[in-house]
Amino acid sequence: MNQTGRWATLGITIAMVVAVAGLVTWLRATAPVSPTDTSVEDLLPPDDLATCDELEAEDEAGTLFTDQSVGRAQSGTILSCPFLFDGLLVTYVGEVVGDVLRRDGGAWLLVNDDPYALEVGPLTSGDEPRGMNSGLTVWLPEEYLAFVDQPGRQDVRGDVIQVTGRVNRADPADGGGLTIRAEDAELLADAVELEIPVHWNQVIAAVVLAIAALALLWRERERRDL
Amino acid sequence: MSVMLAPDAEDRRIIGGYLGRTLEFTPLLILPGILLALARGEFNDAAAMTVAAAVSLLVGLAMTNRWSTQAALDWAHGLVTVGLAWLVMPIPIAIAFFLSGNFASFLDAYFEAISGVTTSGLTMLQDLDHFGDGMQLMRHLTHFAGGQGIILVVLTVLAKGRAQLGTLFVGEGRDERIVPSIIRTAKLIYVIFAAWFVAGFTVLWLGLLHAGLDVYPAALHSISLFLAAFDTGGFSIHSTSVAYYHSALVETILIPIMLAGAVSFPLHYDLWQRKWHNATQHLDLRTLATTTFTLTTILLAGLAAIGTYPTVEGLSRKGLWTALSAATNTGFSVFPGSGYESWGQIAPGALVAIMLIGSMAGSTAGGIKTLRVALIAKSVLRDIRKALAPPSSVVVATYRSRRRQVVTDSQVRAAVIMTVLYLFTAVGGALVHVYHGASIETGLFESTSATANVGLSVGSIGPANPPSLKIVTMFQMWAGRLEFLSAFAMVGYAYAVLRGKRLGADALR
Repeated sequence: MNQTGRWATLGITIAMVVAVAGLVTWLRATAPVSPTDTSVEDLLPPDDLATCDELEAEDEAGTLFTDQSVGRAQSGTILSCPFLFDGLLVTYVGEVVGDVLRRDGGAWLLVNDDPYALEVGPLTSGDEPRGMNSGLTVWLPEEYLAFVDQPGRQDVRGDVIQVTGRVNRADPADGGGLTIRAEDAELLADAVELEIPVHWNQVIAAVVLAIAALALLWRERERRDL
Repeated sequence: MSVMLAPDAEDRRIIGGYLGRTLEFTPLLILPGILLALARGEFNDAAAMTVAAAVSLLVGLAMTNRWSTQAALDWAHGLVTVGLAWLVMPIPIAIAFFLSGNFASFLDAYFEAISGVTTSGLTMLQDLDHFGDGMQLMRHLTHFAGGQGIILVVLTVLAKGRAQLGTLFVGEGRDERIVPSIIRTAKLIYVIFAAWFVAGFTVLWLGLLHAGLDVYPAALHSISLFLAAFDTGGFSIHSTSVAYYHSALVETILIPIMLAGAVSFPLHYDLWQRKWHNATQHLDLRTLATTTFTLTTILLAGLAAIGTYPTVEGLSRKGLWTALSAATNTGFSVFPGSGYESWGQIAPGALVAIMLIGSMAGSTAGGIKTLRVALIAKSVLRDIRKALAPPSSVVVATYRSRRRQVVTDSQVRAAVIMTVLYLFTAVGGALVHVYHGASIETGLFESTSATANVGLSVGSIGPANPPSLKIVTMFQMWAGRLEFLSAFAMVGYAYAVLRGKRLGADALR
């Protein structure tokens, strides 16, 4: 390959990279946002959240006792100082996601209280990401399972429940996992199905590129067979 | 004085042609995800994956069209091709990830794809718990491509009996063939994989039904869990990883699948052939058992001493299970990353050692590899015996790895170099974590996890990391998975491109 050929190859390569990068950036920028309002912020209990610092101060003062109720707590806080929360009664609010794992007179639930659960709803291609998921395992007795019928998935913000229960830092019933064993529960908000608009730019790009790729593949196969 | 020559047109044709082949193959990896997304009504995800697959096919075809050649592939071409293939092939996957909207930047999406193909399992994915099923399937199939070896996959699917492919095989960190033919070795690896898949999928599916999942979710979860366990990857469908299932049964089923992934494919073949003595006397397997048992005992003692898990079941399902997940380099977790804060100092230290040592050579796992550790230990013992023996005596050390072999100085030197490189990369990465504000303990844990392609995390690797830390972690995952050889070859190639003399000769031969 001579010098001209090398420059031509480099030029074609750069043009291809720029074209693909431009297409991908444009598709991401034009992704539609779901118009469905999934926020449950108005329904949340008063904002008197338990903190690790408060509990630590109470623990040092000798005024923190097992079975004591400490009000509402968030998953991030409980995971930050599980020893302090061990055995305490908390109120916890979050969205049920995934599956309802029914077993032995109740069910194991993954209950998230991150922004996707309580504020903006499931992340779709047009939304701004708000961080990774955060949640806790909740054991819900049979009598409260009737109102948990739709966990969250890609196009559904699942049922939002409020549970009051005891934190178990190393729950023997869960092989040493951190759980909340609900003693009381209520449905705060029903599941909401998201309206996810079709990203037509992306669909058209997919169809055009797929046809072009298959045509080129067919042509190449014929050429290679010759 | 040797003269470094710049790669010529023939070199570029060889490397470009193989990279094109890799990109031609990638759509096959994406296709199952597209079909599942369409079936599940996830149309935007299906379109995103179709764009990625079409771009990959178009670019791949253009490359093979321009650079196809019948020229022979030599050692240096092979190493550079493998190194580049493991960087190029994740790009289409990253395009699909980026278009899903679940990644803040293309860098994050590329990180995820690199983590997938290197079977590391570290993640930048945001809102995993609402991620689409089709995307999940594609994400877990990246473990399959990487676990079996990208080039191996490409060869099996696209190549037709090409010769001189051994260098590609070695470049992917595999140095033991099942049979002399590479193509036949690749096919045997698929037979082994298929047999394990049928058994593993069925048992996992039944276990997940027992755990309370419905028929369809149980099927999707069992495919994903199998791919992540057998290919020692560690991605999971939910943010709580294996803890999501709250099932001792599922955790128990996963153990033999993870262990199978940590065992070399040649040994799988021997067991298939009922050569049991090869397993019982295999130095690599014995070392894996010894190091895992010793370090796991230390880990459990550390946890028991501080009472992290008061019950035997807790110690087993959290401590022992995590140790096995690390020893097999899988990286599934059974508690959140913040849970390590209650592990004290001894247990995480033992876990870092377990991760670093890794599993058997020729398996889907990463790390230093137990065979290298054993060879170094054997050579130290040989030297001690030599020092104590009469001057005229000849002292040799032997080991059994499918057949009896003598420990040679070149083997020991290679093992020591590789061990030093792993240690250097892990410590260097830890210092980068420290530079970005992490403690040295956290840095060592995360950095070792990335270098050894494990994927366990104390929670400090995530989308909030600065780009420089993400890039360093990606380098660690990539270089660690390819056991550095291809990485060095690529550096040499890049240097030759920039500084080599252009004589028109075959620079890399």
